[in-house]
Amino acid sequence: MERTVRDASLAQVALSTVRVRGVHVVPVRHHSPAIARATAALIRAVRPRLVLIEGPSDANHLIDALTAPDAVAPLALLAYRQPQARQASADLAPEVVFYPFCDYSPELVALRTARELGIEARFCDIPAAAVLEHREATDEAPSPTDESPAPSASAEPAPHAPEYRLSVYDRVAQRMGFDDSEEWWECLFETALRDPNELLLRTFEWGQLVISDFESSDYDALRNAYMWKRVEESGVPPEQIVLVVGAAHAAAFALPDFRAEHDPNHPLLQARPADFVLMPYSFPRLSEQLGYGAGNRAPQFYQDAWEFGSLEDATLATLTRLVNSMKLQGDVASHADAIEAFRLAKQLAALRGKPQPGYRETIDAAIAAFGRGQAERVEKPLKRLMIGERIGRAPQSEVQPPVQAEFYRLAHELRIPIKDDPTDLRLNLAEPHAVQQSIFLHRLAVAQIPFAELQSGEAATYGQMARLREKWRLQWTPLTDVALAEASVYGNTLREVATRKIEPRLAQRDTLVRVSAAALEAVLCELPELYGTALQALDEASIRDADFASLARAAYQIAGLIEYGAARAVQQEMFEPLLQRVYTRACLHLLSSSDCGEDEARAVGEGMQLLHELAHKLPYLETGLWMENLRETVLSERAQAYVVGMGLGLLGFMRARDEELWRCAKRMLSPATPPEQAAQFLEGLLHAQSGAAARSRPFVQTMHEFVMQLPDALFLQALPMLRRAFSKLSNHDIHYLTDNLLRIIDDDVAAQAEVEAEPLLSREELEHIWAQLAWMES
Amino acid sequence: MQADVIRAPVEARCQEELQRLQAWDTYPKPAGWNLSPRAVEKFILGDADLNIKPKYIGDRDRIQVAIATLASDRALLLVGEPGTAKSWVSEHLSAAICNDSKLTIQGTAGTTEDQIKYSWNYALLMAEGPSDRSLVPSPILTAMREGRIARFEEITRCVAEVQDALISILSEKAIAIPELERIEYAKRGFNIIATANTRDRGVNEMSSALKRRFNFVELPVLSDLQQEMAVVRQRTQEMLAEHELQTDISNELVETLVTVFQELRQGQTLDGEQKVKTPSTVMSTAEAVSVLFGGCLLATHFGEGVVNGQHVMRLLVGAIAKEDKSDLEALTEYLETVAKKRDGRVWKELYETHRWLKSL
Repeated sequence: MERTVRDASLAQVALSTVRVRGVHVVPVRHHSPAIARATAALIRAVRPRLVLIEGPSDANHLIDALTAPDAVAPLALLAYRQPQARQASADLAPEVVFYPFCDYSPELVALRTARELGIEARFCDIPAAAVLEHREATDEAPSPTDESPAPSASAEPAPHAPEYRLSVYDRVAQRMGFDDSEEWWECLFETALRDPNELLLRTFEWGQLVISDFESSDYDALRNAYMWKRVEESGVPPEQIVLVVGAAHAAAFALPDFRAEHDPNHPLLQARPADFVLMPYSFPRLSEQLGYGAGNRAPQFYQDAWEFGSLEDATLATLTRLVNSMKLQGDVASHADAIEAFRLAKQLAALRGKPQPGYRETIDAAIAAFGRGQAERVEKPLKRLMIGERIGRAPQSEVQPPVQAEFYRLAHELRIPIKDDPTDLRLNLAEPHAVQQSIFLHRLAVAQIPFAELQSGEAATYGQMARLREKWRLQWTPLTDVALAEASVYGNTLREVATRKIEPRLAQRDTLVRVSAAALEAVLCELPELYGTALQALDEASIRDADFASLARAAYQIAGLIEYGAARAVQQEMFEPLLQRVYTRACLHLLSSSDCGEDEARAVGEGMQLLHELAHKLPYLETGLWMENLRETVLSERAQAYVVGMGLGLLGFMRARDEELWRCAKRMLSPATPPEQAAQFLEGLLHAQSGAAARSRPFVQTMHEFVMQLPDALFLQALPMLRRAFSKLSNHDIHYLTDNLLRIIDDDVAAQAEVEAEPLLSREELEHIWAQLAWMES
Repeated sequence: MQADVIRAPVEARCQEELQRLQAWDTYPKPAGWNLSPRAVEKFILGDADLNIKPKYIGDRDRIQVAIATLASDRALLLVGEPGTAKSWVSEHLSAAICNDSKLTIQGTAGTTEDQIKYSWNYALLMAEGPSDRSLVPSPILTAMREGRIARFEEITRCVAEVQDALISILSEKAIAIPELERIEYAKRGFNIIATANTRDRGVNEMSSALKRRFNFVELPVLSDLQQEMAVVRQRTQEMLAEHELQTDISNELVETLVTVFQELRQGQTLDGEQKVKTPSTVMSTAEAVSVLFGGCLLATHFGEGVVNGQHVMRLLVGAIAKEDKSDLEALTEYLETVAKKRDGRVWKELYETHRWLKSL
């Protein structure tokens, strides 16, 4: 398909379109291909002397770069200021505001058209510095996904309140019977109005509808007055000016009582200046679906509409590309499916009263024709095709991208050495300053910036976290700067980049181990905005996991998270219910997991010890539930021998003098039990309670009887396992075991002497047997 | 007719509504359709102004895709879990579009190609030889002749060779009758609505060639609590009336039962705060109706006539464990981690019986 940009076909645009006090006003909705086409058509038709555009007037020096031939959209003007604060903090990021542009942004189209025709073009909105000042004054902390309040967003009059911005447009849309404003715009404007005149007039009317529903703030009034003042002070006759502004602004200018008066000494206009950088932007960032403002849910889809001329063509292009995308993910798909899907999309559009299929019809048709009714089959490839992966290219970048600037500033403030020789840095996390250093370094690591490497082993264990100490190896290389510049595509700050790196890992349906690791990273990077997602991901992963050992480890890690929480703003009550659930699931899965092979039994045993510790240590966990399930498992006939031994040890049966448990122990050490199993049982028991076992004469008696009754061949066969079992004994335990054993042997010898003239085995021989079992490993 | 039969066809039961829609309908109709696509949409989804009761409560977009598909020449396949109203929607779409929902083939392992295309009256065949009189058209052939909708229920239960007989019908819109030396072409308005159960795939999967002849629309399980409660209560009471029984059913019991079903089905609590394990068995609205109705029978014949959590729990165990006994683990876990913490008489009754489960 030939890819050419098609402007409106009208050679002349009627000069009776929106005029306000003689000025040609182009009321726009941002990132609208239809409006962009109409904008270009109007400028060509009017051929003004001056084009004024809603944009930061302190960024006019970047217009040439923005419209340079080698500048490739999407691009963004980034305005930023360094914060003013006393203490260094990993969260003290620059204040930023983005002004994104793509090929079908009416503002960029206006700039490019003006340049092409040799017409002067200027931004006329309040300076970005004033926007930043306003944010700071209203104490509005921008979210990691918050973008410019000004032209990058839709043409709302009060963009400083994102939640309000949505409700105005959606309210208007819902009043007219649509689900949301995106669908409403596409149905009534983007697909329906081909004539640019009519489109601009209807857009202006929409602007009037919006401002009638909304009470203007002082901030809006300042912006409107400031913009119109640029018109009045331009020195150009009104009929030779084209003013490209959001529809609501256009409607405000046309109000009978509108005045362009404002206080030139308004505090916002006296704000300390902002710095600018023109930087690449990306379609994923532009997409509303990723939580960024700017209201463009499918940048690539609308790019196709811009390049191919209509939404119908964009629909066809998307469905055609979907064939290969489906094949790449292993699905069966053909161009026949694309044809059928396109036909269905057109039918749906007719049913919904739209002249052309658009975003929703494309998705619905793809699900029906390609996805066999299942949205999840087409979701990923469609998202990639409709959002796109395009990254722009700026012709020059005079100032460091914000993430890079933040790195050097924070490294200086946090006293982190930047050297090209490896340097070790030890942190004691009991100190607040060290905590900030730790957060900064963990965020760099998660953002995959090659600079800092954690040396004290994998800090994903309870033990690591409990010690609250970290050792890092630091080394700067040129790759550090390259990675920092690249990371700016993912966020304005290291915090944002780290969030974007971790969030998808939590969203994937991965194993409990991996999800736990991602959750831990979120805690180590202190990203409380991810804690809710981490909780859900951990919950879901633990549901899918029926393995006791895995659940027990996860419970232990979550307990560690809670322990570590004091240093990372983790609230115990947030993770406590999750820990209770994972703990309960682990308890309930012990019995089924105990029926396992020898190799798995070690992991189950380790899990039993972890869970036993938690059950007795944390008061909000139900100890009774664990003990009940432990007992049931031990007494179950299908439990593996090592697990039974471990369980008996944890139950403390020797001290408890529990008849039923004693019978179980004797059964495991009876002649009928295969020696390998008995050895595994002993190993588990001694692993759990070696001290108590060694001190318990009745138990030592039972062990002794078991060993003595083994035929020579079986004894030799079981010897390696028995040695392994007794290898867990400490010197202290051996002392008690020896003492008990010698007394038992003495009694045996004496008993034998009463029956026989000579004992079958001498005392030395008996001692020699035991020596082989235990002392050789000590 | 309705007084004499157990269940009249939709076009008879909803005759007045269809007539009202026809009187209202000024939109263009595809060839062979009684109503326009917009009017069909109103019949299915309801319209308060025209006093049309909703036949399907759910996502409007899915119904629109289904209707738009039938307006093209591609066939429609409704897929979903058991008990998600696939046959119900198929029946009502047919009635709305062509005023006839009876041209139906029921797919089973024993369905043959004759039942899809045509068969013969063998007595006449032997007496007269092949003729129009001796030909017994299938519902599909009838639909082709008259430009109507044919329905094919549980298509995946048929063997692959029989399913594939549809490929040429859906591609060429024609059936060859060699015995009569002619080809019958479908009139405009002909289309096929098939249904398939995503849980139980039946004898064979559909071939890729056949799948490509359909647009698929999945009908999901009801996710709105109040809607599902209303369906469960209404349907249970209808069944009790059919059996001439009167049992008290408290709202608390219905709400608790439906909540259990929804939470186990969705794999999380309704407030979204906690994940729960989902059993492998179907947890459809139809199952919920069955459990509640069974509980009512227990209460009536072996209890005091008031159904409570204990009655329901006994049926619930059977409903969950019917395919795999290990699914009881999911129920046990749910009771320990969720039900135990909830207030309410019925929740307590459900939890207290869980120890009885352990003896199973």
